[in-house]
Amino acid sequence: MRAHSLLSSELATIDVQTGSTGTDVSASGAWREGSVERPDMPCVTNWLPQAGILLAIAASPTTAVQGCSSFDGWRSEVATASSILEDVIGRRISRLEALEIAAQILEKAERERAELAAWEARRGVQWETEE
Amino acid sequence: MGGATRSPVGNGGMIYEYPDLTAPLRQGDIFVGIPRIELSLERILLVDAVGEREVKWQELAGRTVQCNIIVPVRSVAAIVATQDCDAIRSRDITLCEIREFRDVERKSHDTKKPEKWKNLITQQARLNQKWFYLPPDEKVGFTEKMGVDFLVTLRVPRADLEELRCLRKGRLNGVADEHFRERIAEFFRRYPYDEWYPLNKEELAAYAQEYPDVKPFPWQEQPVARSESSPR
Repeated sequence: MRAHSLLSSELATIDVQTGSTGTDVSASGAWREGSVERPDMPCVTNWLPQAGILLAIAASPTTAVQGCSSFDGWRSEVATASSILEDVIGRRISRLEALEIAAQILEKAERERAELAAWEARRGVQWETEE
Repeated sequence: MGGATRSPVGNGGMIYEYPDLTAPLRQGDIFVGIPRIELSLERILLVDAVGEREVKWQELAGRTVQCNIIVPVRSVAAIVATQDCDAIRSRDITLCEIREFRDVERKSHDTKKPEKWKNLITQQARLNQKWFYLPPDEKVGFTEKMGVDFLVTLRVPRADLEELRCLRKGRLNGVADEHFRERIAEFFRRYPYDEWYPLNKEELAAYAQEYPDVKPFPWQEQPVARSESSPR
């Protein structure tokens, strides 16, 4: 490697959009680039800690059907694909609200991982107390 | 698997080596700056020509038409979990997230003494833990003890990741990679079972004091058979 950088995780500033503080999830990947120059990594210098992105998805047959018997029914849905999304009922929201919800989803996922790790730490062999 | 061999002790610090930019992807490669996307099946942020809508995935699960959603993403450190053969030709590469060890293994949250660290770090040789320990290394960019969280997997296109080998900060050396390979295999080979199933009634009672939510198996609800000569 021609160059390297020092990285460290920073304390949780998970939800700047909603103002929530939440659980300490410092280990969830809030990377902060160090001051060391990184000529070979210009591609990551503008990464935001969190951002909403658009993701195109397509439901696959294997996840969309419960069994072979329903495969034909699934195929028929393809034929009416143009009207599918019109059938979807959902609460209409603004782009800003969508981004806020996205931030909440991220915070919730990281908080729940931290809580699970804490729960599991209370179970099992307590190496800390063993002599 | 052919290709360049790893030095058992590496050509760098601690348990790492530092491949150059032309080196192919290998299991154990450590990247800093991999996107980790979070999905909530309860809160899908659907985008269409009109605007945004919040729906449940259940409403979309049976549909086959492509749609667009908004998802949050964070840039994280991660290690290649895909084995070397697949890392050459597969469409996607799977990585596991790397976080500070204190947060992956919360038992170490307040650990300071080397004696205690020793106990925690070496337990992965005796227990099938959900993490793999990575010691600090300035060149890799780890200022703290780190841990691979096997529970958090990321998937990225192989060709794209090859183009971003500038994000690869290091690689496990031979000894560490051999251990990592076995550990990740063991982790995904696990199967769930209730560990208290072979306990007798008295052992189960002691177990239940520590874990009150335990539910006895039918054979554990039978009276404990005692012989006449059993000591009291």
